[in-house]
Amino acid sequence: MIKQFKQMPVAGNWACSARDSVKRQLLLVVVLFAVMSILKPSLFLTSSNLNAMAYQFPEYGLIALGVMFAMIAGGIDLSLIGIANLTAILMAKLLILWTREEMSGIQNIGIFFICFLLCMMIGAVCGMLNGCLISGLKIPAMLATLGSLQLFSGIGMIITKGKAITGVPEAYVRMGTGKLFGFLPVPLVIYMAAVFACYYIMSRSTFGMRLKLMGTSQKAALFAGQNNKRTTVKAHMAGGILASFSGLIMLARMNSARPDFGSSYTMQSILIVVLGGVDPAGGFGTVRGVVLATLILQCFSSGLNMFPTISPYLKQLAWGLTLLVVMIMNFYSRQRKAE
Amino acid sequence: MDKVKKIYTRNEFYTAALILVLAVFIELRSGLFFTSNNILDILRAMIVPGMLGLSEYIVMVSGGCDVSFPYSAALSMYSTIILLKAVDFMGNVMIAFLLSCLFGIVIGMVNGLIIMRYRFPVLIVTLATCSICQGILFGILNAHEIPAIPQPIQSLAKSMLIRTYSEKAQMAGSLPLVFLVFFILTAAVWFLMRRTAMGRSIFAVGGDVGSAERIGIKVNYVYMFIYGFAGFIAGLTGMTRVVLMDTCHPNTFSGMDMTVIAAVILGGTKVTGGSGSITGVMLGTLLFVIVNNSLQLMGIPNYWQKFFLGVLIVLGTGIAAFQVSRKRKKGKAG
Amino acid sequence: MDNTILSLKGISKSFGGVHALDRVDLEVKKGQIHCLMGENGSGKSTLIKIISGVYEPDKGEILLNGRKYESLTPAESVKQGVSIIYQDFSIFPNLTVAENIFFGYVIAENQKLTHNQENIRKAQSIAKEIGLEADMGEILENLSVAQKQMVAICRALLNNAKLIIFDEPTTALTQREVKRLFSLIRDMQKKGVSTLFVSHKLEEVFEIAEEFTIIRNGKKVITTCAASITREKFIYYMTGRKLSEDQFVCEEKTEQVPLLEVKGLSMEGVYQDISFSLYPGEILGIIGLLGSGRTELALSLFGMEPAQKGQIFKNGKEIKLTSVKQAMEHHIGYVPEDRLSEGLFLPQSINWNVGISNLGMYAGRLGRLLKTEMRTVTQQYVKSLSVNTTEIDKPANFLSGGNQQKIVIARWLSCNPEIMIFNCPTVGVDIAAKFDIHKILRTLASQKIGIVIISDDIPEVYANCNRILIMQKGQIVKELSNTETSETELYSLMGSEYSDEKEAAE
Repeated sequence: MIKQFKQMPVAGNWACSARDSVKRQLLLVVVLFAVMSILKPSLFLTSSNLNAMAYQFPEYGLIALGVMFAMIAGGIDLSLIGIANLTAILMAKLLILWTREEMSGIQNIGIFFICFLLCMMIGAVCGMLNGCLISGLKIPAMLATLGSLQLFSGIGMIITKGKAITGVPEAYVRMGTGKLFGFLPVPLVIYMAAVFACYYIMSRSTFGMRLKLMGTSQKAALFAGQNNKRTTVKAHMAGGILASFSGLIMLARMNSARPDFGSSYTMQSILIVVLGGVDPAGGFGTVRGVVLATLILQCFSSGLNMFPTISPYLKQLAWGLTLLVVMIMNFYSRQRKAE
Repeated sequence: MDKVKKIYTRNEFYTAALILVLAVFIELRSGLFFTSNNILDILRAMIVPGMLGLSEYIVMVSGGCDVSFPYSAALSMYSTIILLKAVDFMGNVMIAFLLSCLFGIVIGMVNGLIIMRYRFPVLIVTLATCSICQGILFGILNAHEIPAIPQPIQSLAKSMLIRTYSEKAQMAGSLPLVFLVFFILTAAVWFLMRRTAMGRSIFAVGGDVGSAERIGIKVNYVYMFIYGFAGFIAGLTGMTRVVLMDTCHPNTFSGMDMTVIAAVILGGTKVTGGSGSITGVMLGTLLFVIVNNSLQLMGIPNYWQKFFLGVLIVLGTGIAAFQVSRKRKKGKAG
Repeated sequence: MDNTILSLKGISKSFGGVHALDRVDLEVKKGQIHCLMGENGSGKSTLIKIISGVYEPDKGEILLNGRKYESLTPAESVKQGVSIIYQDFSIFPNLTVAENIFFGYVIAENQKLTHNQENIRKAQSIAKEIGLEADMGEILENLSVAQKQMVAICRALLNNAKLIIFDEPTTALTQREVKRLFSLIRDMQKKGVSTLFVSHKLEEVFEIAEEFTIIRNGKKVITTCAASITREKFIYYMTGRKLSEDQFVCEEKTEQVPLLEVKGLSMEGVYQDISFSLYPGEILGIIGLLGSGRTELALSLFGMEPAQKGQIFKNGKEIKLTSVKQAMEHHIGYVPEDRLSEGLFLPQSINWNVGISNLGMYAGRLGRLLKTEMRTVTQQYVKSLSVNTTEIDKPANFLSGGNQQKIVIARWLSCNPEIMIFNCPTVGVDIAAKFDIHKILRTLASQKIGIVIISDDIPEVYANCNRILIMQKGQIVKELSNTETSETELYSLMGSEYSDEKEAAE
């Protein structure tokens, strides 16, 4: 029996258009950077500004990488900020509970390390729950993660009783906001490590191929002998782990943890992922594109901060417009190619 | 017999059952659920999420998912109020509503134009327009709370439809006049979706866009209508909210997107499009409002709210999804 | 008065320099059953789209009911009484039967309100007229394929159709439903409705058509009446080549132990007590109607829908097949019936489409993908199966149907299969590619691979299988060797369950 194949309006030539959009993005990053530098060289090109940028974007950059996994798998993940906050809260609780003033440095590091591993596991477990809801119970990804977002932040709420947790040991804050070798901010190091790992997984490993093919067609993947449940769960676990890193960075930067922090990150991360050329229907997308889109957003918003007369809320306006314009540009370039 | 069976398999049934169980439970724990003031409170709290739910319902039936309404409603509401304040408006309050609806329609049409022309995923387009509205609202208009709203709106805010006093709770309750707006809108949407060719076209587009095009439905026109109408409802809701709160706060809708979408889905509307009922939307909204409003009645701290909502969404969608897969299995065997 | 309803003269249409249609003529008379034949990609669907007004022809003229059009709009075409029953019927699964029938009418009449009693009554009377037995309030999803098609026909009739175009209408129907469709078409003919029947199945066309037009590569080859042409001529006109197939002869069985043996396999309500054995180098055919349990049986052998009872032996040892993974561990491959949705990842590269099932082989340390190894293997199979491309990085949807099917076959061959199950391997594939695929099957059999073909294409099974099992209502009722049967016998055996039923009822 042949059913007429319904072509997704966005699928098809996404692969070649994504390659184009990477080129365009690279150009955009350079142009943005140059324009900002020329307009406000005394502010933009200072080490303190570049420093600030390097501390900011890893937080949502990590979440965007997590969303990328979910979207390439053919779904979406709205719960990652919830996971990030939950891990931040638990990390804060554990650190406050276990560290004592009289402890030595090595003991501190040991405890920190255990907490770190625990938090990563929590991120993975939360991601696993998402994956199970989606592939086991067959709940549409958007709904499942919408629900689990409420669930994760709800658990955070119960733990904190709705208030912020403060008083994280100073050693942790110093470590999280410090610099490796004196010049590489720790959040940036974590981000770069995550980017490298994601790149390896997406472009160099068998899992990346499995994930992209499953995102293209779940049914065809089943008939090709693939274990879709496992692939979906793994993709969401990767997202959960990335989100937990983001939570740990946030905790260090804010010196506190709250269950409703960073609620704008969800929208922002989807924006980044689509800007980065990931196909919203699944199956196509590159780590390169997502990283470049993250940089574009950071350059743009840091640049805007240089102009005190411009309201920071205009960023939102600009992001929305950029997303639409980029999608429309991709649309026309694909159309031209099809002809 | 057949009909009874059908009711069992519908999501609305489970939602209604859950509401009943919850209501009885709260009544047993606190004895304050079935009091006139609590019932009126719940009805009052349903107005705004219920209206937004209707707009989301229309979009979802056509196969999309609109997330722009929190800020398109806020933007149309806020621009109307500053405009009216600028001219020292003293005329008929209907003009305020009309103006707000007009703003809403314009924003909705922008959504509609992009979706119609390019057929991009609705979620992403509306995410973008939501961001744009937010930018205009806070970046260009420098929005902040306006407590002193124009006189005609203030007087509408004070008009009540029903006033009661509950002996049991020793509290007065009231239902504002704008409840009628909600009521009429619900009836209108019901008529639109069930009885008009346009409404059925929306269902048809949600069922299969290609087929709809081939049998001669003007799909582009339908898309424009859907998003224009959704924008209209957003504008209407914005002004209703001002009347209800007796103040104009630009952040009044933030965070509502998730709960409204969840309520519509809990009521049995399919995210994949083509199916859903107004009864379901109302039941879903009611369930959320009860959970929101009544936790205090049971003596559960407020910070448990989110957790319960999360559990509800996961359970509700889980049951729906489980039923679909069971039905499919049965169909195969038989 | 002129008795032609539709007449196309010298229609040409090209897309970006490629001629899809080149000066095609076509004439359908009032009340005639006319068949439009051609291979996939011959320009049939472009022609339909021109008649329905979706495409504008570059040259030529269209005459509908004697009126001349340079180009048509869809609305005008419908107004002139042209209705198309698409392959997927273009119906709405989420609406009721009645709504599906009268919706087109509501749109055409520009009614603002629906659901009035008048419309429902109209739908009901049309349904009754053509014998559609379904509750008007039922949601369409719950209907069978044949019923859905009848709903589409009802809709066309309600729109006052004078010419109904059927686009490959029998693909998803059982033999019995095809019979019923044909009698319906003849009934409509008596009422003066013309039919343009688009197909590539010879048997059907010979049965139903009064006159037919064959097009090839966008050009009209011939218009003739059914009686004056032989089968061989027909194939020649369709393909431009003379093709015929010899019967497959299996090499002598040397082994005593069957490669695959199935004993008493059952799945509740689907199939019962299935037993057969397959020897290496054999091509075993299982034929049955849609709904006879043939597809479910195939899926059970592939571990996808495990059987509930029974035993499966491979090389004499009992094996369990409860997951696809297990089936693959036992080197069982499966080529699904719907290659577009089940077989292929259409927008992804040919290379990945071939490599996916054998990823375990291409995994290095830390899950690294050994790209060069994968490419080499893919290239080798693309060459040996003579897939019509060398660029393995192109997406699979660039290929024609036959070449796409070869990609799916290449995927399983790269896994070193010992048993291959083919479910309707040549559906929607043109005749030339069909024979190519049959050649591949025979080569595989000569390499001692055991092959099972599940199909309702009787000529295919007859020519290519050395043993044929006939499946009815979930049971195997007969086993035949291809040397001791004929196509006609197979046809009557496959459809016989319904005549049995009739006798029993009497």
